[in-house]
Amino acid sequence: MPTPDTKLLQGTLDMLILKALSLGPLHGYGIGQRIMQMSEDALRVEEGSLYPALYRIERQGWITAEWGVSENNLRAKFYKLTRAGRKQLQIEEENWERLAGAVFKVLQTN
Amino acid sequence: MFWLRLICSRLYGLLRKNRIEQEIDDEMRFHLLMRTRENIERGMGPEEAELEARRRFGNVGRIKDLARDIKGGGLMETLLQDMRYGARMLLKHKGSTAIAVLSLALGIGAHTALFSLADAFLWRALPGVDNDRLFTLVRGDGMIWPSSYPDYIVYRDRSQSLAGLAAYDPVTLAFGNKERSRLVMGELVTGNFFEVLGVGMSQGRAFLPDEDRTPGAHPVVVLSHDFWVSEFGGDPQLIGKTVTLNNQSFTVIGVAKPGFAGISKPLPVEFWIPTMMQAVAKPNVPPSLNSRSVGLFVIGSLKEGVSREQAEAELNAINRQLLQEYPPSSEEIDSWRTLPLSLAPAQGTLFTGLRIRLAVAITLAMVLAWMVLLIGCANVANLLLARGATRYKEIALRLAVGASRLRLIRQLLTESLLLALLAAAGGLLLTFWINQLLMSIQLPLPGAWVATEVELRLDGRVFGFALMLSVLTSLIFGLAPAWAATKPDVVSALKDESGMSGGRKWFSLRNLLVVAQIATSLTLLVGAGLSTRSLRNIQNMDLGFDTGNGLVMTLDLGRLKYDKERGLQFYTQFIEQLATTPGVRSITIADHLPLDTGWGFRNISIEGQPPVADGRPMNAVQQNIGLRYFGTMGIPLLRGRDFTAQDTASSERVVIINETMARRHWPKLKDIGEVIGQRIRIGSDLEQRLHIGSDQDAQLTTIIGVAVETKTYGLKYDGMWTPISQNFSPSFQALVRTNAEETSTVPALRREVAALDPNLPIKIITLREHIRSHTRAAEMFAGLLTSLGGVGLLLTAIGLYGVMSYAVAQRTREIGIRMSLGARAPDVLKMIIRHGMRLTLAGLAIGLVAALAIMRVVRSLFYEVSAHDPITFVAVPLALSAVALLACYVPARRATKVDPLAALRHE
Repeated sequence: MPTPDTKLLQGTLDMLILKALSLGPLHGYGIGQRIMQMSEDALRVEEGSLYPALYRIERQGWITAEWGVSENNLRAKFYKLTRAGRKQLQIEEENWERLAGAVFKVLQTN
Repeated sequence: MFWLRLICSRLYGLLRKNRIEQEIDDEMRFHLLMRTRENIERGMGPEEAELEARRRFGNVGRIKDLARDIKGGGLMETLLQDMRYGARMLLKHKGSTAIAVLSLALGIGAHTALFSLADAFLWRALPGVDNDRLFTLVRGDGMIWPSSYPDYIVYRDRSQSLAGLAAYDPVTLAFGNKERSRLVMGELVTGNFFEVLGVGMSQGRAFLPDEDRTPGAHPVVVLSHDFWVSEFGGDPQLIGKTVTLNNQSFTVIGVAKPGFAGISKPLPVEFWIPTMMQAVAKPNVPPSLNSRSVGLFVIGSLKEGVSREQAEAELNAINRQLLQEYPPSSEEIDSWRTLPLSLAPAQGTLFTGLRIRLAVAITLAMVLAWMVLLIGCANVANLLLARGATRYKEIALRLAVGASRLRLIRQLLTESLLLALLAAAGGLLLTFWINQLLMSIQLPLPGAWVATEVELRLDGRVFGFALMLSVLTSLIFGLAPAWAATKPDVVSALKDESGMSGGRKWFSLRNLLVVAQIATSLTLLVGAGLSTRSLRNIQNMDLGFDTGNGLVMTLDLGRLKYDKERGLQFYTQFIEQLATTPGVRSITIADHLPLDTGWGFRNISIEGQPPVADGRPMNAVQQNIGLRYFGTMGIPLLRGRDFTAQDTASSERVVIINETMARRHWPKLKDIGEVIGQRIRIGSDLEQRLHIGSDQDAQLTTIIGVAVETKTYGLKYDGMWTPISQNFSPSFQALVRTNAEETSTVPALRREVAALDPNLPIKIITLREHIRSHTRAAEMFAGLLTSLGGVGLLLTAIGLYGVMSYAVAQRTREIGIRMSLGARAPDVLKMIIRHGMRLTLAGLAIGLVAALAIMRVVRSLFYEVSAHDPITFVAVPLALSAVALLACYVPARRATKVDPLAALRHE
């Protein structure tokens, strides 16, 4: 794989998953693909982290899961953002922007 | 059956695999498929593509484990998984597992043993009858019989709510089977007895109503199946033949079905005869078939649709009618008829009230066993806390990736439960041994000529009880450590290199447990100390007679229908024959010897004075004795003379009184000897009506001597001795002093008695055994407390040792630093021991306060020992401290062996 492995900050993965799902329901594989597309191949999510994260978020009630049929007619589990999840995404995005802005400012300082 | 079905469905569910598990599998497979397809699109070969997908996915098992942690998983499946894991952990730490199992097994074993004891005496249903239908009639608080025979007839005939009502009375009879004469236990029963109980016959028939109508008219008997087999080899020709009971022939009419052994548990019943044969069965007792004084047990069943309350109300209404028709006299025994009636579930013929007392005793023992069990639980909790500390990192990691806390606690509790189940198995083994031991002990039941048969069983209910206890204990000792170990203090645990901060924090809980253990075992040991001293006092008590070598023989002429004349003749022959038997030094007889259960008070009055002293009727314990009683017993005669052969039934009535009685009733005399010549009357109008004593009692009796009192239950009673020649008693005991080893003369004595009357059953025990029967209860009590206290002490020592070892392990680094800064081995030793002893002292202080409070409440259990006995209260804490010191010393010494350099490099 050409893409370098970029380590995600703790808590960031949850936000990325919520973001990926904010565009519509996806199965696990699709979530990984979408994050990769959105980051223009910069972020690659490990399966070993993705699925535990999905189950954890599901338990927190931010997403729900449902069995459906995939684009190539296979049985797959689709995850969907809940209203609580949408609210959570908004909070996390704001936090992130604040943090990123602060870090950026620090880095800009000579 | 319900359980079987449940297990089947669970197993089926397992085979089909858990739904969640299946979903996770499906999801993973879909992911791998998608990845493989993508890889192929990128130009890989199919095999290579799949391999790459799998490699990239990583460890599927690990992800599944995490998923299960988070999602919870199926109950049954995770349970099995947890059990496998728990078993692995227990096997890994074999040493601490063994200690934990032992700690709990001792406590659980004590409990299950008590449970099977309570089961045998209090709960177990009567074998061979339909227990749900039957009830026992209870009068008042259940310490007296519920009914008389005439009253029983009225209850039976007037009641509308009863389906049937039978009465019975346990009796012992001499069963004459040629050379094998012995006493057997039976029941006098009403004619409808078997019908009411619903017990069928395996041979012959039950009683006909006609066979229980006329006194003495139908000498018929029904045998128990066991008796029929053991005595008659199960002879089917026996029906219609006769057997000899109390020298009278009874015709065998039936053999009860196997498994039914009467309703007089724990006494084994071997036959039944009609109540109308009372005169033959109880020749020593005045006939009571026409008396309205209570004296019979009653059992019965309700009509369909009648509630217990309705039946009770009706029976009490009938009782009120009866009281109007036959008003009770002012005497106490008659006043019992006014007490209310109630119905209780049918159980063996212990008086219901006696059963309640037994229940109290067992409950007390249960409380003590609980203390031991809790000490054991504390040990295990400490072990688990220590183990939790080493597993802290693993647990923290699992919490960090999102495992639910509940799930982890459940896993830790499963481990605890596994431990407790092992302990329950150990405890049941222990119970098995304790029960074997208990069953070999004869119960000191009053008048128990017949060996009691107590069957202590390890049945389903005992197993269930052990199971319940282990679940309960696993919760008690497992919950706190599991809670502590899964505290979501994730970050510090992951960072902290040795888990120190966590360990320190639990230290307080661990310390608390040890302090509680020490306090509890101090209380138990103080109880053990007090009861042991009390036992010593009872054993060393001056009984007032020579307790050296001797044999006690018990005989009963009454069952063989000796009259007074033949009886007195027998006494003379008996003493003559046995006195000349080789090895016999001297012999005497009495209606009962000191410490026998046959003693009782008699009303007395002094000539010319009212029969009251200090506002109460005057009374004294009476003992009817033969010749040479004082010499043989070793009781000093202080004044006057002993009885002689000239004191006969026709001569002047004479009595020797004891010192206590002389001083109480003649306090003004300068010398107790002056009481000689005074005359007293033994007995009262009330006693005459109750058939207590002999018909000669009303005569004036002259005091001819004063002797030293013998003690009964450690108390000095007013007592008097009268010649057995003037107060004939058909049942009697003999004391035989021997020259040689006492038991060697037993066969010769038996031969001599058989020569006098071959049908006379005898019981011979040593004087030591006779005395011991009176200290047995105290022995059992002291033994129970001492063994529980010992077990508690052992467990506490183990607990303290464990905690100190753990503390040393935790402080290895600190000790290393101290030593490298110049601390010497004795300093380290002192530091660790000081830590341990501080805990010990705290426990001792709390324990002393608790022990003082508890012992004061139960002080009546101790004989001539103060509840604050200084010796016990000093010796026990000292002993406990010594054990504690030892338990601290071993780990402390290990601490001094710490190599400073190695300790600093540690981790």
